[in-house]
Amino acid sequence: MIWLAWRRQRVQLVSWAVLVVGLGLWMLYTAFQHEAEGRELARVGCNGILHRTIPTGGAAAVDLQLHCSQLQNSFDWGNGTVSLVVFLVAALPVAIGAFLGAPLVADEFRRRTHRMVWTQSVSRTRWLLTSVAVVVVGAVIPVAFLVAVLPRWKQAYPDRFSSGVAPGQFNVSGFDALAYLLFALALGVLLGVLLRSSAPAVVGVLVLYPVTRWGVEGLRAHFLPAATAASPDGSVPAGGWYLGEGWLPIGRSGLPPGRSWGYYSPPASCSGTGWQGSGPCAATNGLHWAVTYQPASRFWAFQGIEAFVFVGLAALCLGAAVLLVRRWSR
Amino acid sequence: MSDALAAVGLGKRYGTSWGLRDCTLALPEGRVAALVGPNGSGKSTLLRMAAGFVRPSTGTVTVFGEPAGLANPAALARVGYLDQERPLYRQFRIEEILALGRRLNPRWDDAGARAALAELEIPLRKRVGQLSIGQRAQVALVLCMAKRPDLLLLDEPVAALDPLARHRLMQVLMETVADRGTTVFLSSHVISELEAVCDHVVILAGNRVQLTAGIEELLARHLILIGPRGQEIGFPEVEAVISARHTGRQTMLLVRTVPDQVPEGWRVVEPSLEEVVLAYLAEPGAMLGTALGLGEGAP
Repeated sequence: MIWLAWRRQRVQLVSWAVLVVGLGLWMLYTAFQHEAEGRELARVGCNGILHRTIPTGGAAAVDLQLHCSQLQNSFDWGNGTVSLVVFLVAALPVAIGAFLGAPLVADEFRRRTHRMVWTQSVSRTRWLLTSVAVVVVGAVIPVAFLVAVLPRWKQAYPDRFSSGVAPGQFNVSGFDALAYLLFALALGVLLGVLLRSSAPAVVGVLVLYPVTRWGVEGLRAHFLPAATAASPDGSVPAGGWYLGEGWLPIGRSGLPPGRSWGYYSPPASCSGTGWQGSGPCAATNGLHWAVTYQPASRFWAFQGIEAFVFVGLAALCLGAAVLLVRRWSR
Repeated sequence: MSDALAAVGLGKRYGTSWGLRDCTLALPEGRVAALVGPNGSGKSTLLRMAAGFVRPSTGTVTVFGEPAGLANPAALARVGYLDQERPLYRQFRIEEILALGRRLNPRWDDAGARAALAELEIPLRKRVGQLSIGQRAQVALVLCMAKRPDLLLLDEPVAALDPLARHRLMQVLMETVADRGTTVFLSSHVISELEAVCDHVVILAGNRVQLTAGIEELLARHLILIGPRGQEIGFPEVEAVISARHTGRQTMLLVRTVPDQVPEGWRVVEPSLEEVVLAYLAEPGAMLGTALGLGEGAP
């Protein structure tokens, strides 16, 4: 049965592996290049040279400025690839759900081959679970490589990845990419079984997967109660995920449930004292300016919670698909 | 002997219309039964429910005493099913279809399958998508037979086959039945070719089972009577007039009768299976097999 599942999916799985591993290698290449350019920019001292409008020092200086501007362009382009990579990594699960998950069973229905394969001497449950398992293994291995590459890649862009817990950075950190992948794949399989046709199932994945991801991302700030810290300038402790800021009673952590910032404010008499004066004035009234945030130290806890949520959702989808296939009726 | 296939009150509803209704029949082991009926009468639906991948809306269907569709490997291994559309993975080579059969079926007859394909001159390196419709039908049939099932469910097995291949298939079926005692339930439009292989016939019309009978018995109980026109009224000797055709001064009747009860003044001709089946299909009201004593599931 493993042989059949592999034979049915091998073209898609090999293409998938080539694409994902290719992306990973390209990321490594651009990261190394970006670092080298950064070092070269610093060595030559391009920062100063580029800001001089008229090069002084003859032809050599012109050459140097040209060299610097080319280097700077390339360096800026490297920074520009970061958003693209973040987007691609976020889109990988959708791709696997839509192009490997949705057609897995739907294609059998479309070509009626389920009638042939379900009447061999293998139970439908085993048939479905083996098919899914082969795709999971085939899809996960290249993505695991990508996940392993990500930390090295991020090192090249330290300004862009200051906080692992903050949105946009969380998704390219840790092992949650694999949990998303499992969910998208199981969702695709379930929709394919349910709708019996690839195209609507693909559309379903394209809609339901991002909605689920955004939904969970919206909840992520509430996975654990936010931490509170006094912060006169509204900055969060290093690596933290900023959630909000405002006046809070000294010693209180966070707002009362259902309240928003502005619930506490210093008495009107403080408003005359200006920005510099309002702090001490509020302090005499027992208030201070504080931020709420998720500390960087919760990164792995958040990864664990989110992995649990998505692996759980994947198991539910797959369970539903198995039940449907077992009692399939037309 | 237990029944290879038994249906009780079996029905399948598609939306508001019925694909098959109130189907009750039994196929004892070793029987070779033909399923005939017009297009859309529920033949394929019945076979699919027996193969276990279509869930009945009403009633039950059991295969060797177990509900069909349980999908346990041991039960699946005993049933071979040939779908009307001969679905096979188009991108597979023929040898890969054989590998599929070998890996998925514990009773797989690899040598037999290879011999059959060699005889048909279908190259193993070819892909399914490159085959003609007839060749693909042959490969599907090989996949089905090499499984060595105890019950063969064949949906239109002779469709898409040339006359030679049809003849060969009928021979293979007869050999299989003789060697292994396989029970066969096959649907077909080509009634004339069934007489040689089948011992029973199940007639479906209007999405209901109209008649289940042994072919010999069926033929023995039906006669064609030819006589002058206008005398067919009041026939005490005849159980029922199934069809009547009038030409000029003559009348030709297909009647169900008790053996040796021939009315006077009529010329008697023995009908072929095709003539009997067609007469019943043209006149669905004349059926009701149970009332005839031809009996559902009569051995």
